Amino acid sequence: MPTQELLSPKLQERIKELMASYPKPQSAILMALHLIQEELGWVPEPAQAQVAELFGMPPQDVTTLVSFYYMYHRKPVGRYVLKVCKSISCYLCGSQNVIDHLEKKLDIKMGETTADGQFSLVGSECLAACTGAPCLQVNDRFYENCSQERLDELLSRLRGGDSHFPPANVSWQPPKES
Amino acid sequence: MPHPQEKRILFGWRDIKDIGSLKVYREKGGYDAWLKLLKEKQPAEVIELTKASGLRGRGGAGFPTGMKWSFVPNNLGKPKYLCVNCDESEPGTCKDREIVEHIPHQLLEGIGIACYAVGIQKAFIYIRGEMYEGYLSLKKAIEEAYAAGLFGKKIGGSDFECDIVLHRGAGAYICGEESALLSSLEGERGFPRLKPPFPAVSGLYACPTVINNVETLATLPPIFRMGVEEYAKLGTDKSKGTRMVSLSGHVNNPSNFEIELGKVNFKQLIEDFGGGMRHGKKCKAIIPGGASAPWLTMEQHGEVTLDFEAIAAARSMAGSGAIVVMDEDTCAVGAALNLVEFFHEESCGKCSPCREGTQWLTQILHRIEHGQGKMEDLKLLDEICESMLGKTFCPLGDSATVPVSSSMRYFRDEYEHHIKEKCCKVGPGAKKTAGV
Amino acid sequence: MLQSRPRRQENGGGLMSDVTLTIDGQPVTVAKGTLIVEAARKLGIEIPVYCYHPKLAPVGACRVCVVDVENQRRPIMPACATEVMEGMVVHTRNAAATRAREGVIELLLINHPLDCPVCDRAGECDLQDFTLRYGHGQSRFTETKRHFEKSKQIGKEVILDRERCIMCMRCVRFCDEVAMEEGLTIIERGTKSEIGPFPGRSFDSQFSGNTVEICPVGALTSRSYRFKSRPWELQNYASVCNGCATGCNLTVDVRYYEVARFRSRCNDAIDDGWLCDRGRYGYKFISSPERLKKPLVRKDGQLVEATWAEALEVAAAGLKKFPADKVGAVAGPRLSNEGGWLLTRLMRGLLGSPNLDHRRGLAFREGEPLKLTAKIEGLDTATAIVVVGCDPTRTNPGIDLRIKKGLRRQAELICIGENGLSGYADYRVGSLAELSEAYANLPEEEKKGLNYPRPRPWEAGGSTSTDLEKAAKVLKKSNRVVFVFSEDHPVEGLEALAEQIGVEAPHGLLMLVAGANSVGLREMGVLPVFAPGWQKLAEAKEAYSTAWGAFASGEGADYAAMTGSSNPLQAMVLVAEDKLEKKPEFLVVLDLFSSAIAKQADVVLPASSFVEQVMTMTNLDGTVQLCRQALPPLGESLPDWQILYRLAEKLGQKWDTDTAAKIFAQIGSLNPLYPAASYNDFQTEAAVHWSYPQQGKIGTPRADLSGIPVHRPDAAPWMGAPDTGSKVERVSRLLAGDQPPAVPGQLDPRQMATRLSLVLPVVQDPPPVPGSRITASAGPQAPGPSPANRYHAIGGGARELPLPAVQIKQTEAEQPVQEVTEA
Ligand SMILES: Cc1cc2nc3c(=O)[nH]c(=O)nc-3n(C[C@H](O)[C@H](O)[C@H](O)COP(=O)(O)O)c2cc1C
Ligand code: SF4
Ligand code: FES
Repeated sequence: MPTQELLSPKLQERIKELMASYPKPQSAILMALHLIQEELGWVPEPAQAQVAELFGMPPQDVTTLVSFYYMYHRKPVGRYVLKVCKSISCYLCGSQNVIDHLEKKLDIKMGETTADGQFSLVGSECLAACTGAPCLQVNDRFYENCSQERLDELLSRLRGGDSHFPPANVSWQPPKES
Repeated sequence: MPHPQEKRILFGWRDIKDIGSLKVYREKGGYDAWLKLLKEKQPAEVIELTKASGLRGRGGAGFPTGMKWSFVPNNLGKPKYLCVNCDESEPGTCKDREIVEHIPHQLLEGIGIACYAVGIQKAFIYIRGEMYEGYLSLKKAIEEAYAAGLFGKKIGGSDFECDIVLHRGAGAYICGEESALLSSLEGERGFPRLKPPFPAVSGLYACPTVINNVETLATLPPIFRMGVEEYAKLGTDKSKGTRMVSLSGHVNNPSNFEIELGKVNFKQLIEDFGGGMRHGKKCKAIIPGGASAPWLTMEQHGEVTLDFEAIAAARSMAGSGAIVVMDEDTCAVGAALNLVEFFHEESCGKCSPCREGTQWLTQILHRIEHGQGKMEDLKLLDEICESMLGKTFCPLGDSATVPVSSSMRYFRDEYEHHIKEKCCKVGPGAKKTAGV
Repeated sequence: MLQSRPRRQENGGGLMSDVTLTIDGQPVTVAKGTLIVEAARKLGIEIPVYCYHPKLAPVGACRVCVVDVENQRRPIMPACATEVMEGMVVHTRNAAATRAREGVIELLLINHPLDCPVCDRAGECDLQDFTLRYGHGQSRFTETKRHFEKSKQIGKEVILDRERCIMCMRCVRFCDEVAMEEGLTIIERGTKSEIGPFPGRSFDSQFSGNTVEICPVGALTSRSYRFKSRPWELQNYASVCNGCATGCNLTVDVRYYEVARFRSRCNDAIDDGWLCDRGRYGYKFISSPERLKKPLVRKDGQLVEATWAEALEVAAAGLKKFPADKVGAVAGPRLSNEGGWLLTRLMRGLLGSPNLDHRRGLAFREGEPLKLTAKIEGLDTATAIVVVGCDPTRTNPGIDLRIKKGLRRQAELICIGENGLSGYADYRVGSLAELSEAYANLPEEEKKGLNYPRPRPWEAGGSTSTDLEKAAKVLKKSNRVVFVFSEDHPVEGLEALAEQIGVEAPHGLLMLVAGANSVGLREMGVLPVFAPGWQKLAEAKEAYSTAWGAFASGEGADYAAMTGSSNPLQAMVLVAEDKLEKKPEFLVVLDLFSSAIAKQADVVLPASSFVEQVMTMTNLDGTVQLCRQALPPLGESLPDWQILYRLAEKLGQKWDTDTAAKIFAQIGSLNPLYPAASYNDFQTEAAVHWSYPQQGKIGTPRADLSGIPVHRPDAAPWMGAPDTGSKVERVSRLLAGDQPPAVPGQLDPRQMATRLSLVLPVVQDPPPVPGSRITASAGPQAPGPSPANRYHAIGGGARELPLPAVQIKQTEAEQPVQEVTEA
């Protein structure tokens, strides 16, 4: 079975560099899978087999990782993955409202992707943004204090093609004066 | 702007513009404390000084940091490693994220101090995969520090050398547990490991390893800047200094605050720092140290001060410093279910009591929440907790029982109400019939 | 990938201090580093386990082994993963331990379907047994169980039922730690965890059957055995695999005159508790319809069925017709030691012919036996293993696993030539000559220095090197070097290098001979230029002439000459051998099947397989092992030795060795390699299931023929038809399929299972401690190893428990040659 070459030569180079930065090459596997996901959008099985070969490990040892660590997608996902935090602080501050609102606006259920492939809606455990609850992540960026208005703004900005929204690293509001 | 009642040591420089850049950090005198130690002190002295500062781990267990370092044997002929625990995933906790995003160099300097003290030449920062922004900010800081000769070989003209590798996790709460972190860092499933051997002797790659929380390490530079005696004067006898608390939930002003240990109680924290409860409601329950900490109630524990001993005396724990506040309208069963669901979702599945127990607890609470509970379920819940507590492989399984047992301790009436009346006793769920 | 703790380093001869602790009030002294379960076992105290397996590193995951240890911060500790400490006080039966264990078992059962009636493992399921012994007796779980597709074929032989899996990870750890190859893993996490191979691939490891065997529940079952039997219907017989010369020990499980399965019968010295699939599933030939059942004689150009008397008569007459130097015999390596011995006697003693050899008898060298033979165990402690131009993975899978075990411990692997182990090699070098030269050129002071722990091959990034010098240095580390090679490889160079290194037993040369009993046949004298035991012919002549009446001490034709196209012989006896380019005028064949050669023979005599007789074989490291009889010979077939005995009778000699035991005793009196051999040197300790000694069965041989009433070949006349009348109907096919039938209005049986309450008698008193029973029932202490350490006590190995010494049953071993009645 010829494995389709999914990992570009450049990516393979990057992975080999990473392997060299650890005393034990296998340590680089999580980072390598992140890179693969960045390039392909998800981590398909042939890519798992191929990266296993690169690391000289049995292929099932990669599958076990990809399924253990929830950040890796084993199925294709939308362009924007909206990860809604469901843990305690967000729960107390209304994460269910966020979920309901997004489900309604996107017309999909949690775990699904919109037909146009733009949005995937997933749940997540605590995202370490509890002081900005309820919060979510758009791909790798935080979006906090998600009122309905802010959610609507988010969706319209993203739909409008503003892929830099929400801007990175502005999530931290200095504490408000009481 | 810092809150006027905060005692900012760790966060002393937090609000300086561009403090995340090496240039500004150096201008303020950053890295000087470390470089001075390199020149003037022997590693063993640094460990002694750290012990004297009274600094205790901020990751959860509150173990004295200097003591932890002193357990690392010097004579094994193997490399030693530092693992910086930046996997912050304990629900309610978000202080480490603020540190790495805003004062990354302070963390790096702290890493430098720890490495020098223990004789470590390679540090790994295990950062939670979701914290991409923190990853970028640390990455930039590390690049800057390397370029300035602060890491690598011959640091500050001394013979000391130290490297930093930045490593991203990929979404698993258990990887915050120190031995699971090591497994994950070795490119394996984040399964916790058997102890002994303890990481201090056989940790990463079977070599002696220190694992410290981000906040613990980032506190080191200010401690050495101000002098360990000064720092040790802060706080209480056993809980010295200051610590970050992440205040979240039903308060007006949820935020991270740095407080002096033992000098603030929950009531003050919520009123003075948190700006009081939202919508003028009453506070019902407090989770004082992240999801793993047993609940306290405002009624009984409002006067408990925030330090390791006082919270422990109240049968809870200071944990990660995450303080989650629930108002009077919060259904205890619902909140407990939410917490148990978290542990169910994040159980790694290695040991049976945790894997199966979290599922069963979730199922029963779910049933009670939806009006299908039975009175016997309460006894069953107790017994499942007993079957798990102390029998699981790692503390995650213990933690999973905590929301159930502590909420039942204080709010058993709400559980009974749920079972009898098939709806919540308090809050919006009280009127309508739940479930069905 | 499972971060199990590396197994404790073996006591390398250094001082190993002892630790004394108390378990349930009984003091016990064990070596430092012993785990609590193992210490308890020594006292005969059972601690239930699932994830623990003595051959795998401890993980402490299932938690069923929890015990109460005094003065601990967390008093409830896993006995399988906690090492003993001086003065430790352990309670396995107090209230805290009992409650904790009950709790764990209850939790393990919540997702486990209670479908025991249709589960293949029922009756030998640890979950069933421990639930009965230690469980609540009542399931309080009323929610929905986790569901998966019921059963799924994940490999050629392996079927997985994920619902039944209790995540002990034994199977995964086997693939990871022992087989070290592509296999099973855990997919997902938490309650969603399941076992499986890489998605879309089949679990076709040649060791896959081991995972089925060590699975403590019915999650992994094997296709061949599935739904064929209940364990309590099986009779167990200790035997030895004859798939290759490794000689792995196995248990033959027989159900109503049919082999139901082979299981491993752990022997630490040989197989370490594993079997390869070829051996494990290789039993199907035994009941093959193709087997020869009656003697055949050529009449009018056609082979036709005949009576034994008739066939033997024709054979004897044919052989007598030709001069001795025109008669020869060739044996294949399945032949037993007893058969080989009588073949030598027939040729040299009776017919006076020196023409005898066995397949590739002297291929490795003319004129001398192999020196410096290693023990298989030597691979465990070797610092260097050199695999020379052979492929153990293909030819001797048991050795492959053993080499990997050495690698996990400390050995470095040097491969010469491509083979299944190349991927694990630390160094690959071109030829032995190259390596020897590099070794000779090393400066003297290159000395030892080992690196622990050794990364697994893929952790090292598959690092291989052709650097000869480095490879040669590896040989310098210590004299604990094992060379693994095949018969095709000339041995002179190997021996020279091994001598230079100064290797000592148990290390040295391990020759992967080509057939199960190749070594044994050589030692029985089935060779043209040696007497038994590698004695010089002339020197042996006297002793054998006295014992046998005559002994042809000349050198005869060898295998190549006799089977080649210029075969000079006029009459031949072929035993289990199917190569013959030129048929002599008269040919007698003894075999199980009708081979192409047998079809040309003048007389074909049906032989019995190794499970149908008592016999011994000698494996590649020279261990002599006994196979017990598990079945009556098929049809009219007879053990080879009996055929040869009768043939001798027809040729006019009545030998005194008319039982297998007597033959073996004679071997003992004449063959210097088998001094004073006797069947009583083999003790039996059959079939203690590795999964864990069952309560009351610890050390009690399941197949102890002296106690348990078993089917005895002599009780059931072996030529009679099996008693089909009492055959139990197979398990209902209702649930045998992949999915339970969806009958409208009928409960899904799996749902039913979740509702049933498992009402069991609650065990109140701690069950009796089996230890006392052992001492009571144990026979005289096992005699020490026989002279020259050559007789391997069956199933023995390094067991801690005193084993009852059981004598081989008269009826079985001393089964005399029976009169063949004329039909
Ligand atoms: C289930 C579990 C999760 C944990 N998660 C974290 C975490 O996210 N961050 C952290 O710093 N420590 C976490 N810890 C605590 C660490 O195991 C460890 O005690 C800590 O990193 C030690 O650092 P310190 O001595 O500086 O506190 C966790 C512990 C457990 C049992
Ligand atoms: S399949 Fe069997 S051996 Fe494998 S984890 Fe499950 S219960 Fe254990
Ligand atoms: S935890 Fe001890 S046998 Fe599984």
